[in-house]
Amino acid sequence: MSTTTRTTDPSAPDPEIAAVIHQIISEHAASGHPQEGRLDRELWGTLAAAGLTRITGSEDRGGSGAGWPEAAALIQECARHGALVPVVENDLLAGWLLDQISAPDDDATRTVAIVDAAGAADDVAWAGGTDRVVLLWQHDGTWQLADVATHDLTVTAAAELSDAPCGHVRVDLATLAGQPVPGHLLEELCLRWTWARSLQVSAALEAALDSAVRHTTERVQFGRPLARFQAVQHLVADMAVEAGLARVAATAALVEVVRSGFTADASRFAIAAAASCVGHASSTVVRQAHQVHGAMGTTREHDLHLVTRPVLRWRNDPFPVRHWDRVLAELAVAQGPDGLWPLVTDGLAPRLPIT
Amino acid sequence: MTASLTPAVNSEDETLRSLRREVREFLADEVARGDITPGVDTWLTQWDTAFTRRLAERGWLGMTIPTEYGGRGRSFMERFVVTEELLAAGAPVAAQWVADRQIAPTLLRFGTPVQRERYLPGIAAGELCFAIGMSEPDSGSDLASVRTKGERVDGGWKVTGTKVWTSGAHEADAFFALVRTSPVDPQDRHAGLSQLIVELRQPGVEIRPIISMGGQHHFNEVHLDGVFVPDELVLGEIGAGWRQVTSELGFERSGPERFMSTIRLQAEVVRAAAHDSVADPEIGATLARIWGLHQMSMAVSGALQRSEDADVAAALVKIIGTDLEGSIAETANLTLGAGGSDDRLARLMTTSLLQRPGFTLRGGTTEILRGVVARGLGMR
Repeated sequence: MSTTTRTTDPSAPDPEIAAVIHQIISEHAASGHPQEGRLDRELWGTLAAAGLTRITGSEDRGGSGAGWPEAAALIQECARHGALVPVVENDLLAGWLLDQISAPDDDATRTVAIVDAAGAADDVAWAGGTDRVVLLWQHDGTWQLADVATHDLTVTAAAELSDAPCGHVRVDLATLAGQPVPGHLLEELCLRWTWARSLQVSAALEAALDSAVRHTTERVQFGRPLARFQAVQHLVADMAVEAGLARVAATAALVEVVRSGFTADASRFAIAAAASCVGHASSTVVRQAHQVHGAMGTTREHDLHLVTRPVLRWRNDPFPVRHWDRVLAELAVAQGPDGLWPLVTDGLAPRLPIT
Repeated sequence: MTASLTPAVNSEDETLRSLRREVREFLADEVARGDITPGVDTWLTQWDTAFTRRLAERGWLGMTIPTEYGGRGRSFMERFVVTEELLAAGAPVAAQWVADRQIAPTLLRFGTPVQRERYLPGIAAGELCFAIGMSEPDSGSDLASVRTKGERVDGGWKVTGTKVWTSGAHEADAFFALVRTSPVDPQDRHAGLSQLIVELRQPGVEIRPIISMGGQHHFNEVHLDGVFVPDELVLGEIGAGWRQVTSELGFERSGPERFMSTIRLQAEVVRAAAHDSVADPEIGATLARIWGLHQMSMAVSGALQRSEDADVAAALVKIIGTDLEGSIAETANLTLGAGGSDDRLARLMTTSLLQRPGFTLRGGTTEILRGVVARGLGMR
């Protein structure tokens, strides 16, 4: 990429930070698989030493104060290599929430859970794998926050869709001393969460595409590489098309956040539209990736699942893809026939299912 | 790896946003006055020279043509914004489409000063219309197999052959004919092809209509019977036709018309959904996908502005965009039937459904484009 392109590309990270991220993650990935179901402490330690575990945290609170493109580079590099580290949850979500209430900073690893009135939250990414969980719940119409040690919660492992820990959280809300937080924090939390998931999914889809290209050019059947068969070329081309759309959608949401933060109307729209685009693109890419890898791509031994399985969780977290489709549909219908195109170019805020 | 397939994403600055608003207001007025009627696939099917000239008066035609040739000297991004707004309004833009989209930039890239002087001011004023002279009866996807022949004669070339699917040839003034000017070299099929500018209102040119299945006349067959093309109307270099045509296709494949052809029908789907108690999530998924394509097409336009190679990115846009505009027609039909006694809806529905097969054929079929993408991925 030339310097001129970089300066015109608001999504491009600082090249030095991007190089450090790439080196740490790819070297670690090359050194072998971490144990599934656990946080990869070795990688986490390396990331922490490089100041990357609180990459977007404010510098006066021990963070690195990096921008969104650098955060996106870290999130995407981890997703591309199936790294078992809660970079999104610890920094962008839990770390940010604690920054907002000026809680003392420490080295604990954290995730976030929004629990219902009964004290339950299902399918919480990284629950059970981090030291602490930042809990949010509503009490008398006000949102409450508590930063709780994992051993003080009941966490049962969720179905094993992917290797990263995931759990159902249960807590007795009566025993918690919550701190009230304004509702707009919850909104921004959900927007950050969804935004980061789109970045993760799009990076994983690119990795699946790269793997498909590699596999089909190396694997020989009927005396020639699979890539020589037109039927196979077309399967992979369709993956490239959808992965390309996902990449552009996630990047466009990044550009919008760089421009105007998470809560501007245009950003809210871009985040919702990207979630829908990326989610639907993943159906084709994951499906075709497995089709071209054949039976060997379905094994534990092959690396493909390190990028395809997490997608099946991420795309529906914190809200399922269909949620975004539905709120965007409501928005389109409310704007009417002549409002459809202005929505595409200018955006308006879709509803969020919280508050 | 896909990073290299999609160009950098742009965001619109205030200049572009205000241009968008200006064009949008102008078009809303045109519709309100009844001067234009929103349609679908209008860039192929709705030829309205008067409207095209009104756009020229506003400075929204030949925007990227330098002012010395009567153009406006504006950026690809500005042209992109105007193009999107025209399509979003379903405006009748067929008269200008080919000339503005690919003829003008190709003349600027390969044309001589004399050729530019001769055609660009007319294009920018909306007074000169062009068609495309690529396909032939025996050369569809396999464009290198064209048989229209250019024979060397004193002071020029004598051209004989038949071009087909020539949209708007019956109204256009000229086209760039891809012709074989030297015999096929089996080692290099792409050699020996050239582009000649053929003016269509002259002896030896016969234009016959090809009627589409819905009864409309957009396509033609153009017979060239020993038509004389003087040396000064050779476009670029003799023998470089393949390279030039490939570059022209970059402009042809990536624009917003590759995902917006049926957007006015989607607007009617949204209108009809106002009566539903729960909004159909499909409407939201479609909105998101239109937004994604808008971002992708805009990124390609930015790459063209920076003179980056965007062939593969353009293929991505066209594959996914034409699939989307076709799906809009399909889903609308499955949801609303033929449109009933609502004339506006029925007209948009019928045109969308009957034009749909062409979406994934014209400008390079989806199958050819998948091959382009596979080559971009290093698979062939």
